[in-house]
Amino acid sequence: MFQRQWARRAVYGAILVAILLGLIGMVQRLRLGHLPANYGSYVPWGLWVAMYVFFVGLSAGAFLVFFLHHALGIQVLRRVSPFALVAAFLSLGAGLFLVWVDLGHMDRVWKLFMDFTPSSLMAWMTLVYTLYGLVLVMALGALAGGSRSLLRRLSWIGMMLVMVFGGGEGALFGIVSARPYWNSGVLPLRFLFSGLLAGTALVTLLAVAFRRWPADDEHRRMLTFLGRVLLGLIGINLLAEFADSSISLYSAVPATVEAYRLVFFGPYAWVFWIVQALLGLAVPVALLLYGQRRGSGVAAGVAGALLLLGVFAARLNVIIPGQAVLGFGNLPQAFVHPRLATTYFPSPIEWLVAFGVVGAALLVFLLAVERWRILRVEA
Amino acid sequence: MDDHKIPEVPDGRGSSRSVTRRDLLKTSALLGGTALFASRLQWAVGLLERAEAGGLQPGEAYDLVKAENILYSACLQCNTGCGIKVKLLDGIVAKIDGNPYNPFSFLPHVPYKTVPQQMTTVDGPLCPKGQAGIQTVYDPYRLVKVLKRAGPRGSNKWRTVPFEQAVAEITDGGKLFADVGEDRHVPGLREVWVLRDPKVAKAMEKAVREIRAEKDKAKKQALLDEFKTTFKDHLHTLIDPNHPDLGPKNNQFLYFWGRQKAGRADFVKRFVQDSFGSANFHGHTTVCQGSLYFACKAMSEQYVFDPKDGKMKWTKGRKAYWQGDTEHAEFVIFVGASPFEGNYGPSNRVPRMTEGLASGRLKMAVIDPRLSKTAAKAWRWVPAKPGTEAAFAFGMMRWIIEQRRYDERFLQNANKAAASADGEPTWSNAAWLVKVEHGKPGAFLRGSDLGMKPQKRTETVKDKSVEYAFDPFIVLRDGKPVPFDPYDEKTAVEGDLLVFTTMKDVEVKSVLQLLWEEAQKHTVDGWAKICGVRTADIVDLAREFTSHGKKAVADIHRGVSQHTNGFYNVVAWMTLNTLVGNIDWKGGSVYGKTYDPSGEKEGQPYNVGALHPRKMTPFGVSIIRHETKYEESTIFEGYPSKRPWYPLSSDVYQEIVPSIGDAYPYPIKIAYLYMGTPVYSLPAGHTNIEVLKDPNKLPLFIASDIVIGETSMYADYIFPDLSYLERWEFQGSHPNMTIKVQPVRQPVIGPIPETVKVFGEEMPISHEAFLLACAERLGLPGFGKDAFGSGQDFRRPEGFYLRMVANLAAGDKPGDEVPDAGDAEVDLFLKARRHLPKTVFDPEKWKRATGEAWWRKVIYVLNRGGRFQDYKKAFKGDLLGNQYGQLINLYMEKTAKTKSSMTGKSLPGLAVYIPAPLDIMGRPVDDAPAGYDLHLITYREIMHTKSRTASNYWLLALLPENFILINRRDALRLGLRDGEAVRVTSASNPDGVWDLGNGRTKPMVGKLRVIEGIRPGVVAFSLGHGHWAYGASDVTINGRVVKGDPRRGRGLHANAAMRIDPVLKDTCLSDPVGASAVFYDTRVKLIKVA
Amino acid sequence: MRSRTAPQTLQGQPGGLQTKRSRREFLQAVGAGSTIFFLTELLEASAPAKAQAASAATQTVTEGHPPGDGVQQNVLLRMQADLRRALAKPVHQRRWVMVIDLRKCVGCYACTIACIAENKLPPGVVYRPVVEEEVGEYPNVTRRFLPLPCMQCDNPPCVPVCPVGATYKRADGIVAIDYNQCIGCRYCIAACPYNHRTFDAGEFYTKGTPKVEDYEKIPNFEYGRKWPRKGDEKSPAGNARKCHFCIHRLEAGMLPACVTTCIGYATYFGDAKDPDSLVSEMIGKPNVMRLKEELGTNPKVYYLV
Ligand SMILES: Nc1nc2c(c(=O)[nH]1)N[C@H]1C(S)=C(S)[C@@H](COP(=O)(O)OP(=O)(O)OC[C@H]3O[C@@H](n4cnc5c(=O)[nH]c(N)nc54)[C@H](O)[C@@H]3O)O[C@H]1N2
Ligand SMILES: Nc1nc2c(c(=O)[nH]1)N[C@H]1C(S)=C(S)[C@@H](COP(=O)(O)OP(=O)(O)OC[C@H]3O[C@@H](n4cnc5c(=O)[nH]c(N)nc54)[C@H](O)[C@@H]3O)O[C@H]1N2
Ligand code: SF4
Ligand code: SF4
Ligand code: SF4
Ligand code: SF4
Ligand code: SF4
Ligand SMILES: [Mo]
Repeated sequence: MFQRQWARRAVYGAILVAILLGLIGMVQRLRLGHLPANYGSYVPWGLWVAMYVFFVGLSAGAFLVFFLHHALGIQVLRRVSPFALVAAFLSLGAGLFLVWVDLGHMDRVWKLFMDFTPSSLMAWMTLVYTLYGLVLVMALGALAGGSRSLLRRLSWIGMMLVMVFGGGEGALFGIVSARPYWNSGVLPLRFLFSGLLAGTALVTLLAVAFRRWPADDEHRRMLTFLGRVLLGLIGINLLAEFADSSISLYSAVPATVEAYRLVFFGPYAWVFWIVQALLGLAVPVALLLYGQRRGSGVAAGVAGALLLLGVFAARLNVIIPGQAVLGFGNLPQAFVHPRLATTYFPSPIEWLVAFGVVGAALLVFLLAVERWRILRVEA
Repeated sequence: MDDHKIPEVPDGRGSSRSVTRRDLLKTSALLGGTALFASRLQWAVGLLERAEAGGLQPGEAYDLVKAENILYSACLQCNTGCGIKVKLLDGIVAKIDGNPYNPFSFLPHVPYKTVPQQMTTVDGPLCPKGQAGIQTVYDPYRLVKVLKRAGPRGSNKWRTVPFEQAVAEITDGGKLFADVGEDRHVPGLREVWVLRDPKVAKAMEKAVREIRAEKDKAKKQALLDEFKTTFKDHLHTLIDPNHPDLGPKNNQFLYFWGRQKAGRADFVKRFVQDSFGSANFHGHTTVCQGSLYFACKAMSEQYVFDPKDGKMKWTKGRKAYWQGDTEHAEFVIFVGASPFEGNYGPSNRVPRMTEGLASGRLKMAVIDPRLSKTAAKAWRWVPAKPGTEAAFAFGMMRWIIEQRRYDERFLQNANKAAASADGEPTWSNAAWLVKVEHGKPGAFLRGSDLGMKPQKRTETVKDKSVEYAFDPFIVLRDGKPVPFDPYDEKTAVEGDLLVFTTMKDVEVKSVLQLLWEEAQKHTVDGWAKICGVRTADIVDLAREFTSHGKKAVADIHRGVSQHTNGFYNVVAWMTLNTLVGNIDWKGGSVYGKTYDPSGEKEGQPYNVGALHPRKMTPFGVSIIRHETKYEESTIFEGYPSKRPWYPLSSDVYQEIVPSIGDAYPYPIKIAYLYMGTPVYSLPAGHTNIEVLKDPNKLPLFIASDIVIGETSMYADYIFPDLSYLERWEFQGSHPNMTIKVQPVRQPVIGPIPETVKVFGEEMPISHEAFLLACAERLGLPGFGKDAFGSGQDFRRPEGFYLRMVANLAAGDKPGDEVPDAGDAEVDLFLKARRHLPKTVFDPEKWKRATGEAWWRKVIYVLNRGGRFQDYKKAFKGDLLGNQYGQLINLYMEKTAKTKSSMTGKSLPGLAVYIPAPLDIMGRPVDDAPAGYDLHLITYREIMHTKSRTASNYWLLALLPENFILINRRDALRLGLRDGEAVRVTSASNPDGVWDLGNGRTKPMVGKLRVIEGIRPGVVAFSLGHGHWAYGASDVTINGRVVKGDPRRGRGLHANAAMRIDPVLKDTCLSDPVGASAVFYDTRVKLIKVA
Repeated sequence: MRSRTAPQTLQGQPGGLQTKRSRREFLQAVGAGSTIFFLTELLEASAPAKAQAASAATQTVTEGHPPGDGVQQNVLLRMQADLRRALAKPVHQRRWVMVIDLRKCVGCYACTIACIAENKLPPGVVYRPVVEEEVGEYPNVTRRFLPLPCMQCDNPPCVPVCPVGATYKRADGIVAIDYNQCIGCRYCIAACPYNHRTFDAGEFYTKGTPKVEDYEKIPNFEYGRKWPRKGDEKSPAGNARKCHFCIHRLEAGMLPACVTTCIGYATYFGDAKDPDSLVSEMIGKPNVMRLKEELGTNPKVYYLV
């Protein structure tokens, strides 16, 4: 996995730093509540919610890879499918942790289960996540137990749940008629597709970065396959996004148009143009195409990383601008407070906790890969 | 409890800090009332615990509806002073609402007899500032102990000193600041309290009056010499024996204030004037709307017998003015007034208009360069050029007189009898004849001018019969001169209105003729051009104004008066009101009326002013040279005088500190500032800093404040005061209030400053406690034992006020008493004050003060927050019930006979248009050629009050910083963008900074707001932001830094850009007649801040 | 498990259907037997409220000006009389509505601050902002003011999204939040089309100054309970918050704080199911409008223009 010791040290070092920062962030979060956070009322959902949505998307995509192998029997994914399962599990955990931290009353999270409210999509999502989490745990167990048939059955069940929450995640936003920018039937599909894309990209990246097998021909074939899946998913994603934005813009709801204006030309337009479009789309497509011909591992890995970034930026660009446009233009001047503003940038503590969560997930992943025997797939 | 943690707070720069309660007690012993808080919290915690335990029943939970948790008082978040209903929760103010008994806060208010127990569920309206008063009172930066400076003045280094020590130092004087390296003797009050014999004072006063009245130089000198011999044993008591008209040395103690209401005013007057004998007792009127007061005073002068002078003269002009009865008016023109944002105003005025706006009863026009919230609701917004207010009025007058659309019937009435015959409570001098000499109108034509013999009359003065002459005024009727007495109630005399003739070789004109000629100086077009408006604006307003009978009124305020031509602007607009004869009519001009608590009225038990064992008669010209003619003084040295004199005005705020600086006409040794902040509030107020920070110019400077304010920061000592919810006052009324009132401000919460002992009595440190303690130490008469008469001591502040409440309960005449409070009301009275400590509420002592006989009546008044006339008594058919009922002067003879001390020229006696701005010598000030291309004005936002709402965080959330409003066209022209920061500079402040005189400067930088609703060429900023004290900056107390709160210092305060008078060089531009400080005649340049 | 009563979701609650009372019905009701605005029959001492508000019941009605003395009735007293009539009925027979006359609103913000004071709202929480707007071009310009309380939608998008049923529609039409149930997920905040709801992050206005003042810590009375403010994540800190038409005042026989404090007398309140109430008269006029009606939220706040 780590060819050189310093690389290992560096990676673990970085992860530990991230976790340390995250701990600082968490201590502050627990001590001061929401005071140090920058989300508020006109932008009620910030970095943590965006990351949560992103992470559960990742989980969905990672599970796709697992599913492709175990359910559809795509052999070339043999070596990477345990990675995918662990990644799916950890992504889900990281995502749920972040929404939990985001709650106004973390201690009341149990109410989500005890006071199930059928009218609320969020309540249903909670249910689905719980089931999915169970599936993942069982799959990990099955992986240890080596029961292929159980794994196949679980991957089918899991995949169905993935379809539900992958889309449900988008529906969480899509049904909000208050935010015309979100309020679209295509949004659930967009979320599902982009989640699958990001998850697959993650698995690709993990396979390149932390593989425990030689870079042999099978490895190259696996990357070529993953590359194709990625390209396909990119295509589907573009189609969904085009459908969504063209319909929305065509309908010309002022708030929607304003939100798109913010995305394309607002103060954070660079997120769209540079991060999302250039780094998150154009570059990885080029790299993937290049990788298809050359079978370059590095190219696929970098493409995976960039795609992750791109999807994350896209998530932000759905969640934040959707909130940044208010029904009453001068509302933020009516009563002035940083939490009653439409501009939002995550506070240091939000970043710290985010780093920490990513670090912790990575740490567990690496430890699992390094220490957990069942993840060692024989070459 | 001591370690009660205040959680860490990031301060925005990434670091965070944490303070424990114990730390707090140590570091800020004087701030925030922490010691008191500890005990208070105990109760609160008990309550919280009960609540948490679920021990409270649902219905029971709403404690704020219980009568015993409610007290009525008066707001002072702005000077309107609406009635408030304060709701308490365990002694802490939980909510403030409007008092339904008080017509300022309920329309119509409930009958006075309604029992308070029935009013618990009825809340009245209140403006946002009134609501936020909680935050003025519970301000973490409030003072609780006496501060003495521990560095140079203005350095903001302080230490706390015991109250007794501070009082001793101030009364005794000495080298008080040796510890900060000032080896200088500081005079104490005792040293300045030189003339102590009231009899001598009285005699000297009379002699000085005679000296002043003598016009002949030689005779004047003779009188002076005589004075010196008569008072040879007392000459040392005078500031200058050669100029006895400067008065006694006592005058070198100066008391000045910003916001002071009756009660406290009477208390301090007793100290400063009646006991200490100083003539320097000055308020802030001219910074406010001075020329409005003094123009209306001139217009309300009456020609009556003056017992002091033993002859008839123009006197009794009241420092008061008229506003509109918008509750009944059909058309109102607001000029430079914004009752929806400021004014007196807004809680009471808004409801008297919005109903009419929605129903169509009321139409409004607003003349204001800025689209105020009032203008936003108006039928017509007229953004006329600032300073041209009189020109607009003359445009209207020209059209009205031309079209003869004035109230002829009313104007022809020359005396009371004629007015009464028409059912008019008032009459004017429109038809009276004026002599015109050398083309200038001078005195009125009198009977003697036509060879008639003056009437002999007698009057009894102090049991002596005084004979005097009455020389009748003249009108022309059907070509014949008719003599008359303006106050004749039997023989009605009417006069022709437009008269222009000669009588006995004297050219005479009627007053209306003079006005007509003045109006003819320009065509309506011409007047419109001067104002920068359309001719149609003038004509439409004039037509509308004369289309509603008496139900049309012009309602004017600061935008009219605070110009160098303020006085005559005001006269011009009041003349318009007189032309339609709307005074004392429903829907017309109102003159506010109050119940008098002073005790001077028959049937009132305690004449607090008269109950004094050794009352002094202060005399001598004041430091601001008010109500006195330069020509009469012994320091007359020809024109111009060193600084302006103000014979027709008083309370000339902007003159106080610069005059101290110039020691003109004499030096001041001790100044005591109460609730005022000239540095912040005056135009070019920064000029005051130079004087205030210099101990050589002002040896001792004491301030009473609730925080360390923009001006009190320069004091030697600051005495913490009680806030408006902790103290007593009688709020009075305002001109627009048609109902007779007297709201009482009374303690509703326990005091926040610490407790001290004065005259053996425990009381909180306060304005009163300081004065009482000084009186005790000095042995000043009028305080302490038997001060109100034998057996009637004056040891406690409320002893004074409760007696005044008893007067209020007695009413204005016998038979006007309020009923006794019943047992249930007495019970409620006591229960509702259960949280008040003995230091402010001791029912036994209270009862002793009012006397048993008045106790229950006093309770009746206090249980309702004051005394209020019933609504229906305030109107008599189409007339107002509370009337002015006298002569109104369109021609002000007294004014015409007065000269400017700077130019020596006589003043015009009637409305004129004088272009603005002029300097104090009457020369134009024009900074436009120097590149100052924008006209700066200022205004109020409804959610802020002057210097005083920086502590109100709720209000700051509504407007965290103010802006410089600019028209989009100007912004385009100047390449400026919305939100951009600019510096405000002017010819007298080219750097655009506040120089705080302590090494610090504060740039006058603010953000632009580009709008449509302002006249191009004009920029405006609102009052209340841009603080550098008041908790906005760090101060050091006892060697420890108390951090300022940056939220309190945001935005800009551009007063320092306002034009300094080029002649005086240390004072803002001023109206030489009405004395207004000038806010709206400055030209500025905006400079982009990189 | 929870001590509170089960939340009423839209479908299940009795008032939900009845509020779909048509405009025509209102008009009929007004035509039938309404009194004249401002002049009144006043304050007949109707049996105040119900036994529920024990203390309120002891607060007898103010006498005001006796009828026929020629003095117009203070409109607040008239509405308070209306209120008492409504309180005498069972809760599901009341439909609280608010009417805001924009011609009379002078943009004074008294309502904004009164609400903050009444409900002890912390920084960042506001129940009734007043939005200001300049329209036109010099010199033909004006300014408009729009107070925005909760619309108490009959079809509130904020309610169904709540995952724990903490926010619900009451039988009298008020959309309430159970502070002890709310987990602070802020979904309802995102879902409100009027941007009405705000999040209580646990701040204090005087935090960071020499003293956190008591007036911020003493309890408010929202929903008829005492909620002392302790910061941290003690409810209502950590919760979504919203205007509740001052239920606690209604129960005490009082009008909402923003209504009584309105210096323009521009805000009216009462029971739309009472044809004799002032608000019923007003919402039957042609110059009535509601905000974002097209979303189907069916707001219970009406504006007169
Ligand atoms: N730019 C601009 N400036 C203006 C105006 C404007 O329209 N624009 N308006 C002017 C007008 S109309 C006026 S009236 C003046 C007012 O000016 P002033 O009368 O000088 O001052 P205030 O702002 O009322 O407050 C005076 C000071 O008293 C102290 N203080 C506050 N409360 C108390 C208390 O309870 N007791 C004691 N002892 N002290 C207290 C505080 O230090 C406060 O700063 O401002 C004028 N200044
Ligand atoms: N919110 C609030 N209310 C207050 C106070 C407060 O501080 N805040 N203070 C109280 C006090 S002490 C006072 S004196 C009153 C003052 O009450 P007002 O005099 O009514 O109020 P201002 O805002 O000073 O000025 C009135 C209007 O004059 C306009 N104006 C400015 N320059 C000119 C001009 O050159 N010509 C004309 N025609 N108009 C001009 C301003 O735009 C403003 O709209 O308010 C009282 N009420
Ligand atoms: S207008 Fe407002 S601030 Fe002024 S006295 Fe009335 S309630 Fe207080
Ligand atoms: S306005 Fe918003 S918070 Fe109020 S009921 Fe409607 S959706 Fe809910
Ligand atoms: S914030 Fe509270 S009330 Fe709103 S949806 Fe979440 S749990 Fe429900
Ligand atoms: S009804 Fe009550 S809670 Fe709602 S905005 Fe008005 S004062 Fe606030
Ligand atoms: S209190 Fe009344 S007038 Fe003032 S902003 Fe609110 S609704 Fe408008
Ligand atoms: Mo003023």
